[in-house]
Amino acid sequence: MSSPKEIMRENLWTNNPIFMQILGICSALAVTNLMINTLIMTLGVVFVTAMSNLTVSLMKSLIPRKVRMIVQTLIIAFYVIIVDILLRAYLPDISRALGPYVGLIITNCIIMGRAEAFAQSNPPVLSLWDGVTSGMGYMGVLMTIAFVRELLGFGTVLGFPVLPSGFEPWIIMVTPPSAFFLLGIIIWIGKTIMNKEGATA
Amino acid sequence: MIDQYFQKQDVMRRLIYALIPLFFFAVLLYGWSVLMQTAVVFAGGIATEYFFTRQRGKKISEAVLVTCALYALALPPALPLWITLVGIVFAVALAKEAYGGFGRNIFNPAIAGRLFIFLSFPVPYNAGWIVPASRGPQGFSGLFGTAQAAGVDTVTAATPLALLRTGEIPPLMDLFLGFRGGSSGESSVILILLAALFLVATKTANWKTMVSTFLGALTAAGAFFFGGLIPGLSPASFPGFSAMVPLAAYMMSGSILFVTVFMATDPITAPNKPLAQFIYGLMIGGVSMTVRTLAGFPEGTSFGILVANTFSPFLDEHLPAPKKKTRKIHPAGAAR
Amino acid sequence: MNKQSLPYTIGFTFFISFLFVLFLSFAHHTTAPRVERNREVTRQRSILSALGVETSGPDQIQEAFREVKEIEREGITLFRLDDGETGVYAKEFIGSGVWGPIEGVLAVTGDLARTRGLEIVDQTETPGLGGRITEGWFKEQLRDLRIVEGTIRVAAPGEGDTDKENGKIDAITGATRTSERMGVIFKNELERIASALGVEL
Repeated sequence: MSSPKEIMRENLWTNNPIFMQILGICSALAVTNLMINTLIMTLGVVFVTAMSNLTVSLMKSLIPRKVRMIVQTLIIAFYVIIVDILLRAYLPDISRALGPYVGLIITNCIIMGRAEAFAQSNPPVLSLWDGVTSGMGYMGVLMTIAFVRELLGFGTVLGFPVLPSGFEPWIIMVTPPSAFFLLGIIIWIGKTIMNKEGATA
Repeated sequence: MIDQYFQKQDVMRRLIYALIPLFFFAVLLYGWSVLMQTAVVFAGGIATEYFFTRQRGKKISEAVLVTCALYALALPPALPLWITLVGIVFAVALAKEAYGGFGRNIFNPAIAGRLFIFLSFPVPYNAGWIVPASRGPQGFSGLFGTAQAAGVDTVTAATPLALLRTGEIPPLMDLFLGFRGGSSGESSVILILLAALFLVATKTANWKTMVSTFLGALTAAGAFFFGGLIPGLSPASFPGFSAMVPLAAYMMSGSILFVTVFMATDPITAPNKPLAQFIYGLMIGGVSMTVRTLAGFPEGTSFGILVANTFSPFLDEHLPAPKKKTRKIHPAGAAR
Repeated sequence: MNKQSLPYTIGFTFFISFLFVLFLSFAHHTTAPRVERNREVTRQRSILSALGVETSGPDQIQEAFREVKEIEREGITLFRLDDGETGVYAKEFIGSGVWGPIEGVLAVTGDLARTRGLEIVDQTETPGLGGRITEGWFKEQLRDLRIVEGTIRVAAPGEGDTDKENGKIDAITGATRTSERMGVIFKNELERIASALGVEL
């Protein structure tokens, strides 16, 4: 069994859900035009991954094998709807900005992937930790993309203007295709660094 | 000294030679702005290529010079230089090196770079068309960029395509010689034709692709014109043989001829089988004219090239090979 | 007990679904009034903003909205705010933009001499181009603008027309088509308001 430190390193870097496992790409494209939206959305993912991992791990001995996947989906959907309800009630503006994407957290393959690959066969607290770190790995990449897109597309960082007034916004950065380019570049850089690490280690 | 850094490629050199007259003509029309654009493009393009090829331990391909030249000549002359730089870095780094460098790219890098900056900065891009030198009864005026010197600020000029949308047909002789607004190197029909002859005679470019691209564009343009779909040009006001005038103007405007001769024939992104090349050309011409006529963009050739590029490997894969076994190995095949 | 048996599987699935759904209904039920209020406040804020009433915070919005009377004439719902003169009328609208519907609120004086203000509620125009209709400078052009010849003319692109007497506004640079659509929306809505109020344009 891996130690918490190893799990963190794996989920944040060497086995990062986005650039190593190439999971959860769809949402990476859709919600990364503003950092604040990305932050809230990825916090939602961290919460859902952590809680569903915890729940699956707690219940793993009770779940019949035949309905394992469907129960996992049920658990994930449950937490996603909770997040959606909370946002609607307490952060209406962000809920409106995120639109259908909160509901779409359900379809994020990372969550199901962790429940199936980790929580099914590990103790609850470690599973919770795995969920948190996986979500953070996802958050790290998305926030990087959102940072570049918001900076170049609007000239702002978290809504604060940081570039001089003569700045010419990059229209393409506001539109989803730019996330394709940026994600590709991040995967490219990430793998190049990893290959170098691998060569020296 | 040059051989130390550059990989010698005869085909690419001949393409450069063919582009030199267009470059000089662009300088004649716009002067300094073209020289500055070109300098920025070559510096940025070569630096980007060097950054990547050095890591692979290879020399810089001369193809990057062609990419730079084509890109520089396809830009609005007064585009802000930093935008020019963003475009060429994107072209070389993401449209070429990301795929593995020379011979492996799917999309034409020059076109990808141009489309990227067009979609990113539509406002400065469309403000980049400036008044070219003109030809009058008293001789030439405004040569070498002096046309702008009159105004304090740069004067934005309407391109022939923009004029045609308002129903005004520029003089055909000006279009033929190239005294009209637009991207720096796309205007002179006569120089492009001469370059095409040179490229075909030296077997640098494939004449079949040129012909099919032209045919595709002409067919689409004709269909749209007689269907009354071209905004500003109603077929009813050009009865009989006079319909040739707006049609000729439509074909000689924009960058369709420049693209037909220099971009459609790019050996790396075009297919290799003759039938595939024929369909590929038709596709470029047809899509270009469709986008130009029906979409809200000022010109459609970039889309035409990129769409056809996407289908190029597919066409090569699924069409029958010619009877005689003369086909070359597909350059993209190395990537598979 | 055999956890893989059919009765257990069915029982477990039924029970777990029941449990989660019960909890969700509870969460939904307790937050429903709050969600409803958020929706109401968002709508009221847009109407007030078009009517030229500055507000901040949900309580102040609801407070200010008590001054606004909802009236229906000729099947058209208008929101009237008394200003001591002709009154100000706001109308919610949905018009067609370039990519999708543009929803908003347009407010005018009771004699249809001037517009009072514009608020955009929802739109899917090209971000950075047509999407700029939500920006302050664009909407500010319709603050107390004289209506000339029964319409608001959308003129050549510019950075905002500050002349309030000429009955025209600047279009958005690079977004000719969205600007045209806005012109059409203004024309249609002014006609509708005119017929509802029974005033000549």
